[in-house]
Amino acid sequence: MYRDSRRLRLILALLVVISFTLITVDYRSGEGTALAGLRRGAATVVGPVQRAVTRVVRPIGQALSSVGDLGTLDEEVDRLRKENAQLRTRLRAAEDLERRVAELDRLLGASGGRGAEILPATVIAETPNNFEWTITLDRGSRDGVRADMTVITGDGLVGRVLDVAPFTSQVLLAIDPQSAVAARLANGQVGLVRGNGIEPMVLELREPDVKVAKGDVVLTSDQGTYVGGIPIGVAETITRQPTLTMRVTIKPYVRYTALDIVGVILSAPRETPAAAVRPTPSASAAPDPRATSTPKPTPTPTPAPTATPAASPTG
Amino acid sequence: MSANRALVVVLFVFTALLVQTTVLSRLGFLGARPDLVLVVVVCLALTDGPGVGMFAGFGAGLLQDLLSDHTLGMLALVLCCVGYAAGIVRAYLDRLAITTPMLFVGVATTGATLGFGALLALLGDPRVSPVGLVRSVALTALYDVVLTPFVFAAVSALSDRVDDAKRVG
Repeated sequence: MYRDSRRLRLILALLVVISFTLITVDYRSGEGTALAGLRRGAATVVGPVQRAVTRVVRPIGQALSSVGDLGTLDEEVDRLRKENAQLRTRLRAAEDLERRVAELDRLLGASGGRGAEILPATVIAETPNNFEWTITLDRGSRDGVRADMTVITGDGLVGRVLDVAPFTSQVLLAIDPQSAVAARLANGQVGLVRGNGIEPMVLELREPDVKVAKGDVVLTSDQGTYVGGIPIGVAETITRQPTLTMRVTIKPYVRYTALDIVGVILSAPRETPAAAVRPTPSASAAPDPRATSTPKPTPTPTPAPTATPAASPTG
Repeated sequence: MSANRALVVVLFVFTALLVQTTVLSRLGFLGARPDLVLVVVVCLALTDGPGVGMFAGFGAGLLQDLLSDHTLGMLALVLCCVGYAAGIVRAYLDRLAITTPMLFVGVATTGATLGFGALLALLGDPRVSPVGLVRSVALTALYDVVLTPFVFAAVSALSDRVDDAKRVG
């Protein structure tokens, strides 16, 4: 044991001397010596092994290095997350834009048929409670919006302007129980469409012997506040009331819960209101619900009576 | 020391060196890296005595020197002394508690890092600065201490197995 430790100390001293020699020689000589060759040799031997090991353990190494970079990685994650959110928002905005362009197209098509001046507006708010059905638009008196103006979409009637602020305006939806729209059927029968909240709107017809069938189109009448000739919906169920009035529920064209872009009719059509009666807008959008349910053009009944008296004197 | 054991020691040192250069060198956490090679050298010295510690340290240090940029022989000198010292001190202890290797590694890392830094400074290496040295001493010692239980378990387990094989054979 004692001799053993002496031997060990001797070897240690030897190793230390070797080390110091190496240090001195290497420090003095620099490149291009035998020691440099030794380095190169070691690298040549160990290098391939290291490369192989690295290839195998690279995932581990990267995982570990990512642990090591935790601080900066957090920042990176933060930055990327922010960027991602921005891009996602932009993408959503682009999708939204596409949809809105399509809506605007249809809106303009709808107005083009009537020759009315329509101000596009975006719905920026809806009534928060369950008892009123109003929306707020991003257009107000500065844009020419006035109270009682008719608000439409490409599909049909939305409602009328209730209050106007300089930059915004509030619109009473046709489904609000407060709303009563002078309406008529395509055959000229007039009535009143009342909102009913989430229940379907109801058309009350005053005359008892009105011919009305399921699927008949209901339009606004120009005899009220509203611009005439705007489609509201189609008749769905028809019930004769004991008071001899007809009660017709209406399936509206407009989805009042999903309003986004609407149009405020700033000026009534140039033509006579009667000309605006045509229920189909001139822009024939393919998926237009009216296209299927459109009845014969309204003028048909009118010539018939005039033709008969004209014929009788002759005959 | 049997030939088997010598082979095990060489394998340990070489594996440690590979892991150190390929994996742990990427693990620069807060500007310092664990020194697995040093941990292995200390653990070998604890299980096999100052002789093995000394040789393992010298070999491992020299190999690291060869693969590094600094002046040749510095780590060989430092690790050789560390291995020897660890083995010598261990001889004064009857039995090892679980925390003993950790304590050894902690002290050894501090000494080795300071010694290496001193050598670098002595040779005028611009990479060593007092603040950097203190930080790397503290952090490397911490990481090494954390690594120690696993390394020591592996080293002593293989040591036992080799001894058993020798006894049976």
